Amino acid sequence: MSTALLEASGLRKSYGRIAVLHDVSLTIGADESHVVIGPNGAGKTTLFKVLTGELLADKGRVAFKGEDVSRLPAHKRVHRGFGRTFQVARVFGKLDVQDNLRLALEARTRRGNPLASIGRNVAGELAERMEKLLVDTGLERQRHALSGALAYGDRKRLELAMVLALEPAVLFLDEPTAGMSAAERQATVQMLLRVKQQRRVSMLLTEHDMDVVFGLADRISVLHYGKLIASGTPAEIRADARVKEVYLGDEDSHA
Amino acid sequence: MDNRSSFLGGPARRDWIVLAVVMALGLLVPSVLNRGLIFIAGLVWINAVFGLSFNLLFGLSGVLSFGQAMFFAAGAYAAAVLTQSLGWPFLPAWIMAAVAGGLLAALVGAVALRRSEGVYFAILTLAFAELMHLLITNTGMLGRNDGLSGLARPVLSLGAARLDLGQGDNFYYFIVVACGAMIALIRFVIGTAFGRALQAVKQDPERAEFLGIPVRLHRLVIFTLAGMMTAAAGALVAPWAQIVTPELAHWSNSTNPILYTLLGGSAYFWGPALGAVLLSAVFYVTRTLVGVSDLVTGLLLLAVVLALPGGVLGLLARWTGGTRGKGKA
Repeated sequence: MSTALLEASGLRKSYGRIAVLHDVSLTIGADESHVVIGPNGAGKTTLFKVLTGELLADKGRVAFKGEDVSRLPAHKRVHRGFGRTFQVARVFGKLDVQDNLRLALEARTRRGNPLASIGRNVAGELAERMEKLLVDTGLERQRHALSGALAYGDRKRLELAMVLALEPAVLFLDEPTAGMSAAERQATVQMLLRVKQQRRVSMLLTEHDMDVVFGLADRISVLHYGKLIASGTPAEIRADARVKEVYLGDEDSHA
Repeated sequence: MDNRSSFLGGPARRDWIVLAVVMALGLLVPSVLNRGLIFIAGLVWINAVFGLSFNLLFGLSGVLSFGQAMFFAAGAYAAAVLTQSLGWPFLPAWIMAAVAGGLLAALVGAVALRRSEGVYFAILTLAFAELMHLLITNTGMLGRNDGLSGLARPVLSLGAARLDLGQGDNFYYFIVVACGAMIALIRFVIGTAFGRALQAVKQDPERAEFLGIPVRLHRLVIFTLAGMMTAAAGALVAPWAQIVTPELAHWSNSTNPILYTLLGGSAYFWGPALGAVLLSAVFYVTRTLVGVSDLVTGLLLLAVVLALPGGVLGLLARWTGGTRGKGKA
C-alpha cells in the first residue's frame, strides 16, 4: 500500500447521548479505493459527513495530504481536493445537464471567491472540459435534457460528472449504485474503475451491493454500531469470521 | 412543456433591448403626462430598483428579507443629511448613501446570516428594520417623527458643466438615467458566474457547498449588494419628494418590494419592475378611496398568491406556451 492521502484518527461523534462514531480511524492511500460497509445505522453516513465537513467531529482528526482539515468547512475541503456525491443524487433539477456541469466547472475556477471571473466569459475555456466530462460519463446525448427529468441512474452519473469537474484528489461516494438496476450497477462499476484509472483519484465509498463492493474495493472497512470492527483487503475481509457473523452472512441471504 | 434549462437571466440580449425601450419611453413621460403623474413615474422608477434589488435576494438567491426598508431609509436619510445638514454636493452624497446602505447590510447580514436561514432570517431582518425605525423616530438630528423636509433638488456640476436638476423636469430625467444604470448593473450581476452560483445556492445550498461554493459568504455578498442598491434607490427619494419621513423605514415599506416581486413574478428578471408599475397604477386609481387602498393591496396580494403563484409574467408565460414565453428572464 502507498502512503496515506487521507488519514482519519480517533473520530468520535455523538448526537446528544447517542454515540454514533466511536474512535474510528481509517486511511485512504493514493489511488486506492476504500469501501466502508456495514449494516444500516452503523454510522457510515455520519462518518461521511464528518470526513467531508458537513459535520464536525466531537473528537479526532482528519488529515489530508498531511494537513489537518478537521475544522475546515466543507467548501474549503472541496478546494483542497475533496469531491462528494450524495446517497440520493443531488443535481440542480431546474437546469439542464450542461448548465449543471457549467456551475461545477465555474465553481472550480472561482475557488469560492464571489468576485472571481466577474466580467469575464469563461464559457469558451470550459467548453473542452465539459465535452470530456460528458463523454466520460456517457451523458453526451442528454446534454440539453433538464436534469430534474433524467432517469435516476443518469442523475447519479451527472452528479458524478459535476464532482469530477472539480478535479478532486479523493472522491467520497455515498452508495453510488443505490436505486440502480443490475445493469446500471455494472455500468457504474465499470465507469468508476475507468475514472479511477484515468484520473488517478482515490475513493472512499459506502455500498450495500456486494458485487459492487468486491468489484471496486482495494480495501474494505467494516463499521458496526459506530466501531470499525475490521479493515483489510477484500480477501481478508471475506475470511474474517466476525464480519461474516455481523454482516456478510446476513447479506448473502438476500443478495 | 417546460423542458428548457434556464438560469434566471439566461439570454441577456432581450433584457438589454427591453431596458433601452423602457428607458426611451420613460424619457417621453414628461411630454405626455402632467406634473402629478411625472412625480409618480419617478417614484415608480425608484421602486422598480427597490423591487429588483429585493429580487436579487429572493428570486435569485433564495434569501427572504423582511427588512429591506431599513436600507431604503438609510439611503434616503443619508442623502438628506449629507446634502442638507452637511452641504455635500449631490453626487458624492448619493454614492456615500449607497456605501452606507452596503455597510449596514454587511453588518446586519454578518449577524443575521451567521446563525439563521429562511424564515428565521426574515424575522431577524424585520427586527433590525424596526430597530432602525425606532432609532430614526428618536433622533433629533433626523427630525424624529417629522422627518427632514425642504430638501433641495440639487445642481450637478461636473467640471465646467452644470446641470440644475431643480429646473423643469430635469430631476425626473436624472432618475430615469440613474435607475436605468442601476437596473443594468443588477442585470449584469445576475448574468455573471457569481449570479449563477447564487442560483445554485438557492436550488440546493448543500450541493452548492460541496461544489466548493461558500454558501454563507455568497449570501452575505449579495445581501450587501442588494442593501447598497436599495440605499442608492432610497437616496433618490430625498431630492425627488423633497422630504424624508420615518415611514420609509416602517415595516410596511419592507412589504413593498415583496409585493412588487410576487405581483410581477419572482422567477422573471422584469417581474419586480412590472409589479412596481402595476401596484402604483392600482394605488393611483384607488387614491381617493381613503382607507380602501390598504384593503385593495391586501386583496390583491391574496389574489396573486392564491391564483397567480408565478405572478403576472408567469401567467403571460403560460398563455404564450410554457415558460418559453416572453419575459422569461
